[in-house]
Amino acid sequence: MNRLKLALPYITVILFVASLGLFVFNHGFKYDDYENYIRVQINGTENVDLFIERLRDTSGLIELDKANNFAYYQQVDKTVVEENLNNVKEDYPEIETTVETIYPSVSKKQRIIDLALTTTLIIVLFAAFSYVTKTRAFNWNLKEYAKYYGLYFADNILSLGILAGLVSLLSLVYKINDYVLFSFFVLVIVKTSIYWFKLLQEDINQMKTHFVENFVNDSRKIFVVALILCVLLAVGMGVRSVIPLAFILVAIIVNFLTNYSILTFQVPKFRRALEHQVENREKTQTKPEKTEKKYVPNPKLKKKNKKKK
Amino acid sequence: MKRLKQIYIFVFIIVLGLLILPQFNLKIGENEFQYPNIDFSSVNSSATLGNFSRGYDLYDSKMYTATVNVDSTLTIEERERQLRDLVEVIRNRINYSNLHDIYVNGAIENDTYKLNLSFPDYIQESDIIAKYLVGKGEIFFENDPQVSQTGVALKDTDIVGQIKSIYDEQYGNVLSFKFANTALTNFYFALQNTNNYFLMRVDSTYFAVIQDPNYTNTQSLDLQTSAIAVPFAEVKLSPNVAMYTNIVRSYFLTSPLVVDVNLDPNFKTIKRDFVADKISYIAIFIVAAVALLMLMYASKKGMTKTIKFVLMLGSYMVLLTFLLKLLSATLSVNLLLGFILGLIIVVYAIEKLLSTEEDQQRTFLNVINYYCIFIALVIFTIYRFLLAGNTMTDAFGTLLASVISLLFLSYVNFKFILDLEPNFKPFRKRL
Repeated sequence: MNRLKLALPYITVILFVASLGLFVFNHGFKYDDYENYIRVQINGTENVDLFIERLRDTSGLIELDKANNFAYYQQVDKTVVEENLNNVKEDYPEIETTVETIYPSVSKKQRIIDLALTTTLIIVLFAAFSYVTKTRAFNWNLKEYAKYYGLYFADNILSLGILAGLVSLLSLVYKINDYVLFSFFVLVIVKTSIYWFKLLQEDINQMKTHFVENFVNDSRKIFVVALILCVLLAVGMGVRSVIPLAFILVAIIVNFLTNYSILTFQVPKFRRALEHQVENREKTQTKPEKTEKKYVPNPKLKKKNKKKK
Repeated sequence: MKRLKQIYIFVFIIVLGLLILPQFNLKIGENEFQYPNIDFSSVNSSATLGNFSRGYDLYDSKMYTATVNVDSTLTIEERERQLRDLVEVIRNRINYSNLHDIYVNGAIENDTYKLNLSFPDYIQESDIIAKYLVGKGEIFFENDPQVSQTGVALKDTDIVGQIKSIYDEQYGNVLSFKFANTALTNFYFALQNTNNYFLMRVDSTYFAVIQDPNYTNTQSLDLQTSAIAVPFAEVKLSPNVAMYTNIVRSYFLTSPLVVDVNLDPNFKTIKRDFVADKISYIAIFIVAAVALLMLMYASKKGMTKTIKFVLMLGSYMVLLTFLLKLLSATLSVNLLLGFILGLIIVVYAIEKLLSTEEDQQRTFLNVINYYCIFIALVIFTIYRFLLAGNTMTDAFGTLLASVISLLFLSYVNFKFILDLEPNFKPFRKRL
């Protein structure tokens, strides 16, 4: 377990790099609401359910809406969809289909740019707000501020990157929509609240003690609260609500992972040096006792020696 | 003073708790009472105390389809661009009209553009709103043929400054605008008839344009070319008159549509996405989740802290629900997502507050206040830059209501609750 804890920062960095790679390779998200998609409306007096079931294995299918008799396709040519439909129609000639290409009102590029700009703006707001408070109320200097709040920024960048990768991975099988946007802000807002409540109330000396434990405990508490709320609400709302609610939980887990990794991370060279330093300190603390015993002159012995002479 | 604070806390929770109850009818003898029967329209004209407005996914919604014949000479890229422009204009109209619950997307089916307009269940007269939204948006000024036969030499480009949709005590919901000073002569000339008005025709709808009554009262030169446009009876008598004047206002702010859009008056019902026939379960499960959190807290902390925790969380729940109902929030999946995030933050803040040393609790309340102001700024930023026409508006709106509730409570209720000294042994002997 200790080894896993030591390895966690490296795992996080690897996850971050892999996530970015996946994000770039996938051009953001594979299936999403921000690109053209094909919607097929299925109408008929009978066998509609059977027809919809037969569409399940057709290429490019991303969603079947059985309540409204819609099938959604993306990343596939319209003619391929029509060809597939005609094949299935041979068995169900009574079914009528309408194929239309839907255009989104916001493009993927625009959505990603908006997201990046807004996240940056939030971080700048946080920096300005917290810097003013820290320097005014606690007399921190810029160096101290940068040292402790630098963690917040690094933490945010890492966790946003990992979350983007996870969402990109999910988009290979599921159509991503604005719930993703919400999960990004869950992450930023939860992370901000942990830092805010932790850093704003304490001065730098108080903060140095139990620094990691406090942060990790807070992340754990938030996760427990979110888990209870999400699980119970998912039961109330039905199975389809699991994915949007899971976005919240995943965002909090990523937050926990990066918090722990960032706060416990030490470069091996420095860690060894630190361990060495601690060992030395322990030795130097014990040494004086021994030397005192060794060099304290025993008055009785002195007297004996004198007598022998 | 302590007794007063105690009374305030309990009255606060009980009164707001009663106000957020769902609508029901009570029959006593022959008299039937409807609850709640309190008019909050002075705060918000569409306040829905009683029941939440029915939003997307949790309730069925309506989809209208409008079609446009495609110019066959256009290439595929040109068609896509034209459709995007068309959707953009309608989306801007929706945003300018503050109808954020209506969504639009465009589709191409063979040689036709299709515009799909989605309406949540609670919007009344959705067919008329849809008709206005896809209207061409052409604006002309002319004289009423029954009053005068001369033409009006004014154009919509003569209007300068803001165009407002306002409520006038005499005329009701009207549009208020100002013509450029250079158009003064034409404006006065247009008003020179027995009834002192001329017509503004917006597609097939008419408004009567009169000189701003404030000019008549004050003779202020700034208001000399100001006018108000009063809708005619067909619009004026509708319960959605404010909505229609807002949509017409949006015509001034967007370019007219370059094509004729044919709206199909029949709509398709889009069935609810998440649950079937158990909407009330959601409320039960939320209450159960909050109760579970309280129990968990009680199992770890002492009774005194638990009572404070319950009172703080109870105050938050009733205040937030009251605010949401007062602001006529629509109950949708997105609202619930915002609600959960708000609740997570509030539970965390209360837990931190109660675990802080007693002499530091006041300072921590200030920390919460700063945090709330910060998050409110953040949400405003997100709203301003990211949420135009976005489905997540409900979620962030709820989150904003959450932090505003927390801000108010940390200024008032939480301070009082921290001062409480719960006594669990009312019958103990006094020494």
